[in-house]
Amino acid sequence: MLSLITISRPYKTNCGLLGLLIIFCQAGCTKFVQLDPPTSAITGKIVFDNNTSAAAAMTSIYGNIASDIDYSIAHGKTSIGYLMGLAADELTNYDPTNQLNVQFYPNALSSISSNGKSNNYFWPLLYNQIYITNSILAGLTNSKGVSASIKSQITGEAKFMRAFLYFYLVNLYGDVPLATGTDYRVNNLLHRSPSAEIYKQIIADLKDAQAQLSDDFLDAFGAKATEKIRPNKSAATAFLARVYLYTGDWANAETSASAVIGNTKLTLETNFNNVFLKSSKEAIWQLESNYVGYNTFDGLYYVLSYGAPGYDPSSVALSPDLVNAFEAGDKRRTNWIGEYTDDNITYYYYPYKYKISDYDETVSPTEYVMVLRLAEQYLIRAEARAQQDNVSGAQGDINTIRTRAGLVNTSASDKASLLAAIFNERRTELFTEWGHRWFDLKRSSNLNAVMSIVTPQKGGSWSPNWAVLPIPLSDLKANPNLTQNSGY
Amino acid sequence: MNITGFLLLAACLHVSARGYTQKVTLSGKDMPLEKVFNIIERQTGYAFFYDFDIFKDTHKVTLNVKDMNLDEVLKACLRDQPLLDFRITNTTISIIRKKTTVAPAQPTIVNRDKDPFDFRGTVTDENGQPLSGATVKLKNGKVAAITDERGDFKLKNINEDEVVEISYTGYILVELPVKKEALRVSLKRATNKLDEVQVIAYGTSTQRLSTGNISKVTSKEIEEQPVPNPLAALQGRVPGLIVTQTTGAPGGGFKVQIRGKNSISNGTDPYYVIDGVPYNSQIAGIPTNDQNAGPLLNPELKGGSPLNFINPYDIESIEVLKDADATAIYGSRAANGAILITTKKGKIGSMRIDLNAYTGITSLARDIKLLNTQQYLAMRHEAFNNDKRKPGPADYDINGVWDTTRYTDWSKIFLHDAGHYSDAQANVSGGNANTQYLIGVGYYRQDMGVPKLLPGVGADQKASAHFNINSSSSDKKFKLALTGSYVADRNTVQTANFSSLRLTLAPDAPALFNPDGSLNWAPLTPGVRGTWNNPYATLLGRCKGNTSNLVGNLTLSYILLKGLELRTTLGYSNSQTDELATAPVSSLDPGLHVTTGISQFNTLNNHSWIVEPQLDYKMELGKGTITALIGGSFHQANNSYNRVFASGFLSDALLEDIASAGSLSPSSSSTQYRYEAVFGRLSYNLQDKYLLNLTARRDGSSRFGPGRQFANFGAVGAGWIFTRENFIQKSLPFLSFGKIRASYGTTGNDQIADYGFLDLYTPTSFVYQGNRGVYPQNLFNPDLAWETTKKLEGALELGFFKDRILIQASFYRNRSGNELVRTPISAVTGFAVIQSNLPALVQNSGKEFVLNTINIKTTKFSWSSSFNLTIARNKLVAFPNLANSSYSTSLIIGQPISILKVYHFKGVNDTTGVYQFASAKGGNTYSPDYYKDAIPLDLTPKFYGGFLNSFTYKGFNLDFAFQFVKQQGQNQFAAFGLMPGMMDNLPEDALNRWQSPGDKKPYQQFSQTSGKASTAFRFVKGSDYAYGDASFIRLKNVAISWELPKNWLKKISLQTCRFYVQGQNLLTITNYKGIDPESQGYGGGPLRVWTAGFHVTL
Repeated sequence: MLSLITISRPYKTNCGLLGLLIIFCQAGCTKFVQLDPPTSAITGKIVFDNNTSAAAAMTSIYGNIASDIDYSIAHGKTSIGYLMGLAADELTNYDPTNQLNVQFYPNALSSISSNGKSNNYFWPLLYNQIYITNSILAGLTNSKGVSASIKSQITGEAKFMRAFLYFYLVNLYGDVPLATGTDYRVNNLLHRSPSAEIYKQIIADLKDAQAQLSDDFLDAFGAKATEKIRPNKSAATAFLARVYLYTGDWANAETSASAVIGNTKLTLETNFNNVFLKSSKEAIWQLESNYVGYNTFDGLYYVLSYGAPGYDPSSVALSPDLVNAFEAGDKRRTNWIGEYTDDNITYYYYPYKYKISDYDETVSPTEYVMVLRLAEQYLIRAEARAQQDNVSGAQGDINTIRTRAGLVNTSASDKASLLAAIFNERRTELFTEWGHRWFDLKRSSNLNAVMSIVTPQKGGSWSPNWAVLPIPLSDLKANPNLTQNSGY
Repeated sequence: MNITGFLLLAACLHVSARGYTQKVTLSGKDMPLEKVFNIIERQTGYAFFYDFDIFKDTHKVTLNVKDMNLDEVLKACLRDQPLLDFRITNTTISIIRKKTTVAPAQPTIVNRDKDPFDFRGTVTDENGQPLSGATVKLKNGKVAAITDERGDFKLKNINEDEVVEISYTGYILVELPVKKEALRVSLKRATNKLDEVQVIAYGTSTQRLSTGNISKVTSKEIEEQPVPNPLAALQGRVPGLIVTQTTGAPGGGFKVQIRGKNSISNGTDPYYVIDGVPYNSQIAGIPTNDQNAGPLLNPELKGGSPLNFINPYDIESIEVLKDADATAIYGSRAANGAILITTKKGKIGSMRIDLNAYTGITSLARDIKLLNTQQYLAMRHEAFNNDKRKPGPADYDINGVWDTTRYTDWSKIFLHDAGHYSDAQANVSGGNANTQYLIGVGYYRQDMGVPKLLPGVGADQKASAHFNINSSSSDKKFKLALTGSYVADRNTVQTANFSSLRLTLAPDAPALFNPDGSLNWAPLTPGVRGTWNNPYATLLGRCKGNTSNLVGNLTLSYILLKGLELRTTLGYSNSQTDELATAPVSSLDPGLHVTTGISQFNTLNNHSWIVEPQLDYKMELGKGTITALIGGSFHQANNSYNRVFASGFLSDALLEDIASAGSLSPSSSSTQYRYEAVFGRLSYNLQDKYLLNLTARRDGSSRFGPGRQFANFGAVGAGWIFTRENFIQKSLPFLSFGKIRASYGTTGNDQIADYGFLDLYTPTSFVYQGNRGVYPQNLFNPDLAWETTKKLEGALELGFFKDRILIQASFYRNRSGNELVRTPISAVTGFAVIQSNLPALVQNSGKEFVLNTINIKTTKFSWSSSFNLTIARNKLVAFPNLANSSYSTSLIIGQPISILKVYHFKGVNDTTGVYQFASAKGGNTYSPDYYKDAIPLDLTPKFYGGFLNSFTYKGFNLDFAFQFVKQQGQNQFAAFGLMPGMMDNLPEDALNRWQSPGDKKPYQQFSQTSGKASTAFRFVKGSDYAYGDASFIRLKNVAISWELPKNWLKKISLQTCRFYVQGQNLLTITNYKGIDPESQGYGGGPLRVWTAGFHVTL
């Protein structure tokens, strides 16, 4: 112990010396460890300080949902159209190894995957894009360097996209957390908001978007564009029409749909082969895929150009139910459905709305991913009118669509039969587009009736609980306030 | 048997095996005394100390003794030498002049002796080089001095009847009588475990005098193992260190953990330092926290180890630093311990040329038996029958499309060929008193027994160069040391497909080749897509990675005053990896009609520099010695990678030319890391009896936001060598060494990604409407701060019977708080994780035991053993508000942080034939609920260690090493993906399945459709059935060598010549159900290696 006391004095001296060095270092070198951001990235503050990068932040959202072949929700094998088409009665799965297909097809979804990991489905991608819209809106509020017109355009687009993303969340998952800010400490502990509240936010955002977006199609920097790959005012109105329809606000649905139908720049294509081209006259809003060598992933994954469906990429074909749902002489049946016959004379039918499946990077794409198109607006207005007992108005809108398809006018003449006719028409018009069939079955309260027949045929067993997707396990673990949908 | 009991028993066994009195066998006529001493030294290991002039008046001796006790032999030698006597202390024999014979004969001198005088002398090493900083003190502790740069010392006012002790780190302590003439003494390098040099942070020490916990692995141990990565050589040799090989593929990764997992979800890599230069623990560009997200192309090499680019043969020693005392001086980076690698240095002497070369073969150490075609087809048919279905159009394996009479053992085709291993090294070294040098070159090549279609692929090759120059000015004040290592590695191993594919590919899958030699895709009709993915297709593409790695270090030092040295270390390291992977059209199914191939080009670069000025001061204070160190550290590391995905090539021949691509899709990342620190250390050594060591460091890291960059760390270590106390020496004579030491201190962890606190936006890889987007990469988080680990350690070190038995028992408790983690957060926030500090407390505690024994030591035969054992436990001590946190379902207070929540398996329901699990509601269910039914499962090893033995008989040497681990791990369920019954092959024991009601079987019914069976199968992989005992005992290494006798060597003019055979991973004893209990994946784990080679010194 003596030795310990002996050394205490020199230690103090040494501490003094060390202290001096520390002071020297603090004064002189603190800057040494303060680095500029890396050369390959910029900070949020800089992003929203000028037009170019602020617009680029908005651009990333469109690309994120359309340009990634492994995650796109807009087209291809991970899209809402494809997977919800499998979940409903539109598509038949032929690939037993595709993990997503084997879950969606027999309605055997789970929040936990076979290896114990979280099954996330569309959830993280949708919320990640919502976070970007929220950070754009927050960033623009405090920004000084972005010009007023660009600020207005980006704000409008961001609000439109936020509404668009929430629309799919609420329809796929039911009540969901409503995040409108960027603070993770808040968002990580959100409770689920009732669907009605989500719709309220969607409608408010779409109205703001209507007010701030231009009538014209613009590019990222506000210049007029020929391509319709950023939403404009019509897109906001058209989407608002759909939202009103889904919320049962028939009058507003009709008004909004009428506004879009009345837009003289939009007309129904008479040639069915032109509907899904990037030059389509009935396109209200499209997405550019821009994945080198390909047109759309729907073309890649649906068209059976190399043989019978089996393994990737050709894993699915149209269900016989859907093919049989077309009336004789329907031009959509002949133009939008392809056929493949194998050696055993088995017929396979595939969605052929998008025609180009081959990889060819020497040719620039001619097909874009359709998100909103005029035909849907006629069907929205027909339904809104039928619900308001406007029989002739509804008939007129249905017949517009039927006439184009080469079919005779509808025989439905009362509300109930009109609604049935409209849902049939929607089935054959909008098949494999953005999950319309699944949502329509839910809206028309036919989901349980249809699926309790279809699911067992697909090798699964149906429960009314399967109307919504499971909340990802990782989210439930992370947020104690989040609850799982019943049955999962 | 409990551990203490075992150790005691082991100690007793060794004691009874061999007494402690040294025996000498010697015969010769008229031998000079000096020669006799040399012989005794060689036979006993005891070192002699004497002044050369004592031989002046000695007689030659004639001896003929056999197995005579050492002291008797010495007495016999000195019987006729009237002036000499001897004294044995520990393992040194001092020859001294007899006073009794002198004093009465010359009474006048007695008076003169009583006059105090100044005692002067010079201390040198074996080569006559001055040792500066050696301690010279009187044995009574009254006066002490340290030597200056010329090795000179002076003790004032000394009497002639005193005895001095002279000591220097890493050298044998010597006791000599004081005399009037100037003393010239050369110290001998210690070869015993207690006194050999240990490299510590910014200095050196010995086990005897250290206050910290340091384990050393020597170049001999490394060289005996045919491994390309030095980390592999540490397995089973260092208590508290777990090294896990994740794959057997050459160039594959390693997981390294010192004393458990401190961080809930962050980096657990130790801090690597090579000759003073910090070295990356992860391949550049791979975030430390996500080993699967790296840019490396070859999936097998993901998380590959940067230590692959260090040549094991260049290493002199590896020191593993564990406790606070040893690591606190590295501050914020040493929470997970530190691994110091010291490379070989040149030594004084004429030019010495070392040649070492070996070659051998490798094979899978363990494997699993799979179903043959007959069994496989029966399994498939049974599955369809169970499902009451018929095979579909895509069930090619049984619907008649594939030839069901075919049988291919894919394991045999893909993996069972022998691989080859070769290694050749050449070193030239030498030097004079002022300058020493070493130049080494090496070449290594290893390939794996996997199929190859292209020439020159499938191998890992390394060419390396290493040099070292040490030079000093003639006055020895200025010194310079320059060290550099360069490794060029070329890895063309591509195995990932094969190790997993061979397990699952149907045994009746089609032939690989068509009769014309082209790849067989087995299409239904020509021109359409094939019915399988030909596994050889990837072999037509190239996959190669070239890495060059440079580590350079320059140390300059100048002795300003006696005991005060100014030293500056300048280090630079640069690692560059270029990777290429191609997929030519020829490798694609022609039915896909793809017309152009694709390539991917990767470039990873890491370069870093470090400047560390230091001031060292050593002085006597009171009866002891004080050593002070003060220094600063400035470090910068730049990491970057560029990745280009190229497509649209005009021809397959141009796939490696990026300029020929039709389109390019690049992505890149560039990050910088800066770090600075001031540090100080103060050590006090009182008579080699009481030791105290104080450390302090103040650190700043660029990984944290403004205001949070700096933090303080420090440690206290103390030791008491109680065997230096007289009462212990008297009462416990068999105890040759005893030390109690303890340390406490803080270290930190900043192993998170750079810029973690900034909200960064990165450009998108795609272009939309002609423009690139930018998207947020992470959430803004300005509050990120240090994670701190408080380390407490106590240890007892004992040496028995002149240190022939050495025992070290350490007890530690590390507590980590302010946990820096990637906290999983709800995706509603936009992201899945956020980097943040968590107010949780994680505890790692354990006991480490090391037992080193020299069991037998005779002139011809010796046997020594080393045993180490670590018993560790990890525990989450506190977690405020755990129930409402993101971790509420993954962590449990009181349980290890690495627990998994799994379903509890309850066997196969004998009625339904599907797996069932315990339900919290009571009873069993086939679809359990994660929140209610999952139970914790601990995967941290319970205990682990190694047992090493070394035998020498004449020129023969046999070393072998066992490694053992007691742990739970993921079993074969990890390797097999699809539900049994689907189109995937299975291990043979899958046949032990349920078939009809009433069957009691371990595996559920075969099925290939969705239903109860598939639901249950989905859960079984997350149940405790998919985990089990993964303990193993592995014969890690066997090395047998034979050294040519000296007289043979003379004839062929060689200094040494040794032939050897070495084996690695030769035998694994385990109950593990799966391929390899260590790697636990689909790969085969560490390869079995057999090599033979030679080592000659010219």
